[in-house]
Amino acid sequence: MAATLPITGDLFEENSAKSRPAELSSEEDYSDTLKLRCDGTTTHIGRDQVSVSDPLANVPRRLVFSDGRVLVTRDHQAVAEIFDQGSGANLTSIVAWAEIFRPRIMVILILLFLASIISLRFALPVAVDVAARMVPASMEARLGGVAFESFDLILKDSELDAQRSDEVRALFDEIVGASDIDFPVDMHIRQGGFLKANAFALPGGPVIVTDELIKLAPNDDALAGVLAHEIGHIEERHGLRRMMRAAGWVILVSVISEEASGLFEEVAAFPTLLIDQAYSRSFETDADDRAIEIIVAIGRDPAAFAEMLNLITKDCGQACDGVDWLSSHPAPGDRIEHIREYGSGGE
Amino acid sequence: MSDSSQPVVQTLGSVPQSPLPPKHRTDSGSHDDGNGKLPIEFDGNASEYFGIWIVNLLLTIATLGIWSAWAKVRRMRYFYGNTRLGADSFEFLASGWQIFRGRIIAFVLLAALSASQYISPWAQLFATLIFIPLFPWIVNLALRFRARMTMWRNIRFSFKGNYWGALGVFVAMPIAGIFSGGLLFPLAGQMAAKYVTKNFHYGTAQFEADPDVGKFYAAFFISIGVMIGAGILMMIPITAAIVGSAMAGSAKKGADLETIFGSLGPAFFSMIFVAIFVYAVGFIAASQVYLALTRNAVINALQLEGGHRFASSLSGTKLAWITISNMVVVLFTAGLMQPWAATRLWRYQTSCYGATPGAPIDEFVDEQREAVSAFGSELGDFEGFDIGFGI
Repeated sequence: MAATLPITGDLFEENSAKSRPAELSSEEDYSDTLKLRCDGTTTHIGRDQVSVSDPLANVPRRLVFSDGRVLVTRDHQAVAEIFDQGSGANLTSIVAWAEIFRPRIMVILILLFLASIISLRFALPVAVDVAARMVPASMEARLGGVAFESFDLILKDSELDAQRSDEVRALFDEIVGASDIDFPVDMHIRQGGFLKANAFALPGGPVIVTDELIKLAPNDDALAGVLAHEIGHIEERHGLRRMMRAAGWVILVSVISEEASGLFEEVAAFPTLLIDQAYSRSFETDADDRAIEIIVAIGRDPAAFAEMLNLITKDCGQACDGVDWLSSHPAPGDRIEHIREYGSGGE
Repeated sequence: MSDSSQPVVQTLGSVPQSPLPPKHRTDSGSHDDGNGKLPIEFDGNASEYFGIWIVNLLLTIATLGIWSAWAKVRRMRYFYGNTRLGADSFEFLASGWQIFRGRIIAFVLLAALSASQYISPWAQLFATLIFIPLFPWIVNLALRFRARMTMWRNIRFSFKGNYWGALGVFVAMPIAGIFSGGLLFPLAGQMAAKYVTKNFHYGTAQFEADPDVGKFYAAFFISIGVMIGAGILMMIPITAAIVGSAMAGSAKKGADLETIFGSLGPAFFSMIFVAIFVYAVGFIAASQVYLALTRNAVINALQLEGGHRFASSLSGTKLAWITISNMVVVLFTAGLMQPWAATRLWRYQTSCYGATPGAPIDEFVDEQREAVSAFGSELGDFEGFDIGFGI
């Protein structure tokens, strides 16, 4: 091949800041040997004795020779002709090519960026759910146990009479039996206090029901609906999956915003919060569906569940932001409607 | 034939100086300002960096974060490689794999730390307590890695701090600062700066700085003044909010907290939002002022073995303005103007720095290479510490 343009730059001795102007060129006939000219001296260097830094915009290229000397050059064209040509397309060169600013390509990249953010919302849960399957039930139960200990500290013991609480326990066991859960699940009845009429399920473990909820229920079918909903959460491991999805998002957002940087980390946390609410709403709908299925399986009336939800909404009042019900949940009206439809065989 | 093909870059123009004899002329010749002082210049620009930035982002998202290690290398190489001291630019030498390995280790450790709370409260306490004596070691590792990966004129920097020094300035002094109600913080900052600089080396030459503690205290009180000013300004929207809601709620005498809260309109919340915004701006301004004044103090006092001196002339107000306007622009463009913001900030900072060699700059010699791990530096990044050096 014909001689190419020489690479000119500063040649440094190994471990030294001393530099002299030098020139590296490719021999006329043997392109595997290169000629290094500096201060009148010429050295022959094999191409494989030179290690070249990756191309990146117009950052100077470093050519490190096997004898320790270094040639620093801004002759990007010449370096590309002598070195980059031969090695073919590899990941670094493709990336470097893509990075060159061309307005049309940039618009495409921006659209791709927006599209990937949106698809992450659906892609991440899939990846996280796979990971969640590897978490053993015992570890999940431990999580729930630890959380329960905290709740137990602030909730007072139930004031329900023994007969009623036995009835509720029996109902609970009936529901667990009709579900796909194959491990024992405890139920604890406590006074709600600030939680009012409420029930919530902890990961892998106990379900807490408040006195107020039991008293609010017009009949056992209505109560069964609520209990079945909570069992649905445990069955589908919603607590664990929601936690892991949030953690996955936090990590992803922090990694991305480290790239983006300059933003408050708090601003970057905002989308995590919103997405977590969205995932939570879909989990709630899943639990509602599961509740209907279980209620129907044990021969109770699903309409009572919808009615119960109505009662709870009214009882909670305007400023309601309970632990489970009515926070990060679909709007009550929509939920009740969905439950009625699902229950009557629609959807 | 071809003489030294120096890039055709003009200096910032010689500013007429008093006729002192110039220091030893450097080999790179034409780049000082006539008095031997070498300016630092940034040759990068926003559109060039935009390409790198957006490709970084896309690949990071596509690989669910794994590419971020290589993205970091490209980002650092772009900024370092386009920053020149005299005729020669800096280099960032870490490889993507080094950063990646460091991140994996850091990630595993942090995951274990946060998972410990699910094992038992004691486990979490234990894990947190372990972290405190580990912290100086981690900071040293981070500084060592960052230094070792930075090069100028074929010579690497290095950091040789020891555990006890780091424990003193990064753990003991900040704790003392807290117990003294904040009064010892400026002293802690000055001691930390001294510790870092005197353990920094350029090749075999050692750095040293003894910045004036008074300047740190001045910076501290000035930035508190800025915060107080912001606090006073904040009172305006807060007063408006309270007065407004008092007038609206005065009719509902005896109403409980819930009803009052429910009746607050959007006007109230937007006033609160304005107040928070004023506070945030004040906080940023105060921290930038502190940064500018303390960094000037340290760099102006910085010396490198061989009689080399340095200069820094950052303006706190300008830095605050740039930082805040950057944030606003980036926010309103959904992040897309971040490359513009980053290059703008970097360009301003580098334009305020300079070096005056006291001896020919080609006499520096590097030491033998030693292996360093990226783990400490990556752990620092995970946790949000900025353990960068210099710029």
